[in-house]
Amino acid sequence: MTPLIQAQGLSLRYGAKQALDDLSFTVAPGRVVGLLGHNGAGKTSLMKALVGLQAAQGQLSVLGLTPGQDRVALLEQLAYIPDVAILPGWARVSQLITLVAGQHPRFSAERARALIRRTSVGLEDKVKNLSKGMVVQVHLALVAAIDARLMILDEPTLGLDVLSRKAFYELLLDEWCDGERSVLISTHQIEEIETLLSDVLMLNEGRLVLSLSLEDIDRRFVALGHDPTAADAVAAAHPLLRYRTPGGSAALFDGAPPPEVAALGQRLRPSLVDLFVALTRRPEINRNQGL
Amino acid sequence: MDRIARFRSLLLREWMQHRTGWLVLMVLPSLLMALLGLFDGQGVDLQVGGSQVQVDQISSQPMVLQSLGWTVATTGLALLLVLLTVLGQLPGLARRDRQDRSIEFWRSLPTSHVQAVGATVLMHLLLLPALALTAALLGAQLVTLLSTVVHQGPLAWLQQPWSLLLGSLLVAVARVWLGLLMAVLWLSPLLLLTMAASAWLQRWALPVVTAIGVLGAYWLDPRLPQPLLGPALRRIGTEALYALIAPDLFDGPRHLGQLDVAETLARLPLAMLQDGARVVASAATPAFMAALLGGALGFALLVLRRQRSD
Repeated sequence: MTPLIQAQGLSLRYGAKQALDDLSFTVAPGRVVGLLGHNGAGKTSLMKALVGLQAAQGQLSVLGLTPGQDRVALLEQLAYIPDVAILPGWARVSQLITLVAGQHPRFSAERARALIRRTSVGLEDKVKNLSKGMVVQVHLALVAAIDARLMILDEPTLGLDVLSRKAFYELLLDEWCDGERSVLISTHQIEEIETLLSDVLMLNEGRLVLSLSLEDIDRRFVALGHDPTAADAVAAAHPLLRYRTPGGSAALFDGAPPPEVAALGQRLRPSLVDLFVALTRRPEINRNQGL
Repeated sequence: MDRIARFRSLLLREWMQHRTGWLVLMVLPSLLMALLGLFDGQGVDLQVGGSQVQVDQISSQPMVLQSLGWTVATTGLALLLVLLTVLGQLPGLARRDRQDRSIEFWRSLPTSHVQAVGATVLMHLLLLPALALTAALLGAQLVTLLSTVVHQGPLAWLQQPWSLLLGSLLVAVARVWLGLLMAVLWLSPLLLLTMAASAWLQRWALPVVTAIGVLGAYWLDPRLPQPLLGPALRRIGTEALYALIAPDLFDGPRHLGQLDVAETLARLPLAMLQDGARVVASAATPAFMAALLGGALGFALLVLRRQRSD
């Protein structure tokens, strides 16, 4: 199956700052991929490069097109919500539908209206009178009405309350994810989207530190819950991360821990948050904590 | 979806966003003139250069002159308001989508940067002003109707030489559109470079543009073997003004004034056509090409700014 996104040696630099450093990954059809990283890790830069709004070095193919050269053609075939997306406050929702219909060949105004009716927003409401959560829902309804194979969402729920976030993800799952289309979504709310994801891309200071499916993550990484008295022995096995759990302590290993260490505790399912912390903590912090 | 349909949608966006202000601008001149027409009950004594000049009420003039007078006055007022509006809006226009933070939304749509900037420029510099001036030309006819009906009765209005008047009106509309187009092209270096400066430099744009103009004209020009900026600005201003206000017709009425009203009106379309041809001829000069190049540079800077909008 041809990947929707293929990146090979992708790099991007803003002056002296290396925003993306030699990234290589693929996104297959029908996947929900989480793009995780701290602020400034390069998530937005990567997404802008993927939709042709930022020039990057290396090989990049999105839906078979080269984003830098075919930006307009590419944007015709995917749905994209940028990180600072604010819909224009002067517009009514119905006007936005008219305008997107006039500019996007794969946009269905009828479907957008149907999606909007599922929300508490009226078609004649002005954007400036909507709450932030409502605006994001309108935006999602607009992009979900695009007949595309790929949706790219850059921190779409940033600043929303929990109810608005829930409504957003429900709309996304119900109306867009059909097993064939893919979504690439960046967010800081890792716990909330963990259950939605099929794959994870993890960025740390511009470098890709993880590109795996959740099944492979479960196979590869092992969390070991243990008694505090076994802490020294577990630490000696050089886990990626040691952390506290409600019942005691735990350690996260890349691969199976040595059998004598594994025997000191019980295997737990590693959470994405713990893995994220383990893989994206800065080296100096790791050094200070003796990891 | 073809490019034209997409461009139309971009123009529609401009209309949706700014229609209230422009609708006011389209109606206001005619409305003011209509009020003036209603109260046109007596003449006015003016003191001009120490001597007393009596201006009769407009409704005492021959019908055709009333019609021409209201047309010129309404269109002139509309032109003034359009100029003030366009000049007032231009700097903000370049930063509009960044200021309301919607730029990323617009950039996420499959539209080329050239089309997006082009639609904004075309709509605000040409189409909306053309609509406002056309509305004024047509509105002036309503003003004439109102004024005539109030002061002389409807019969007087119906007795006008309609074939001549309508012919003149059609040519006047064409002349106004042509004049606007040529004026915008002549002024394009100033307009688009000011917009570009506003897009790139934001609040520093106006001081920087003013400083460049002043330094160029008063410091640089005297040091050059041949002054450059001052004469260029004067040429641009003169050509744009002449394109807009039909200077040949100002020379003409003195000549035309010696003819009777019917003859004046009969000659007006031809005079406007000749004047229009002269305005077009002014484009066949190196100065006009230089103006277009300056405008193109400003446009390119605007596109580049939208491309790099972060």
